[in-house]
Amino acid sequence: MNKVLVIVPAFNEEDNIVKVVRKLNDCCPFADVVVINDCSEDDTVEKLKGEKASVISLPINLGIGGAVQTGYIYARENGYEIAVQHDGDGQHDPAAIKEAVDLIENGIADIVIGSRFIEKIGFQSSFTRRIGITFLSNLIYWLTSNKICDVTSGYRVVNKRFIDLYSQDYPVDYPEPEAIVMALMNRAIVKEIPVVMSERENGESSINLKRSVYYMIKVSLAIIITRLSSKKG
Amino acid sequence: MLSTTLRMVLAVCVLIYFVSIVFLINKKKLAMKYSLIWIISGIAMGILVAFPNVLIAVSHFFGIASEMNGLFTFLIGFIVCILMSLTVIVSVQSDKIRKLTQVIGIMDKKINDILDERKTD
Repeated sequence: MNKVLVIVPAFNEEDNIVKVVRKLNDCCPFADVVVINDCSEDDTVEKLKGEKASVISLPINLGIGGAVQTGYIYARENGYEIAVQHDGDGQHDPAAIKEAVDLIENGIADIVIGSRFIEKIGFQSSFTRRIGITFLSNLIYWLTSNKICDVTSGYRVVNKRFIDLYSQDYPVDYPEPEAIVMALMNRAIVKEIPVVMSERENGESSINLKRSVYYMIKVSLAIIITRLSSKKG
Repeated sequence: MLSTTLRMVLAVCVLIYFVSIVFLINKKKLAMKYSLIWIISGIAMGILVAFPNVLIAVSHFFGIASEMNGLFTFLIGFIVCILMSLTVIVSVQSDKIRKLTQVIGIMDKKINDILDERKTD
């Protein structure tokens, strides 16, 4: 079995983080867990004392992109072969990690994305968000000829090659769709597997209605620029 | 033609501009590296004010009927250049801050791990 690292970015997740870490350790005894504490103002770090997880605390809040990238840098420095990106808010079900890791170990995929929309079970996000996700998914299909349904999913498993790539270069805010395009431009084989996501139990999502207009414009532009600036035809 | 009064006023402004730049560089409040664009636009403004014929020629070359409008256009051009260079500087710095933050976070963990090991020894 390859060395597997689960990266859990967390910002003010004191209510969820312990549950998430325990579930991860139960489901994936083969993997190490690192929580990237993105300068939380609550007791996220204190709650993790005694839990089976490494903690990296960032002195400044970097946002999800910078936090996740820290995880990739840590993975590279410590020789991990496979990295799993898993949200710290309890929305993701770690049960899918094993299947995704198997796909990567067998060389079937470079990147596996946990997708809500394949079997359409579990929390399906709001109607307006689904429109946004479909639009971005179509935009990526149009630019790269790759059909990826759940482009905003933060549930990912990547192999060594993309640990190296992401540790050097990872998009900053709202990074998920852009990171997919970056990977596709680097000839990644991206596969989606169905996962069940639940609605947030505690705390708030990082994307509220007010920000969604900015989100759509920024992400669409970023996708187009990423596509234009890379050489692959 | 620019009136003599206006040229005098502009000449004084350009002079004050240069004195402030030199003053700030001397006080180390403005890095030489970033002041280059300020100095270049200052010199260009100085030339346009000192030699009105240059301003007229350049304005006409760009199809601007009145040299006063030409002066404004060039000024706005300089401001846009300076703003852009500022945005570039901010972007580069935020990238550097991000990298520093990540390294500090990882280093902090390493130090804590070493300290914990010592405690258990």
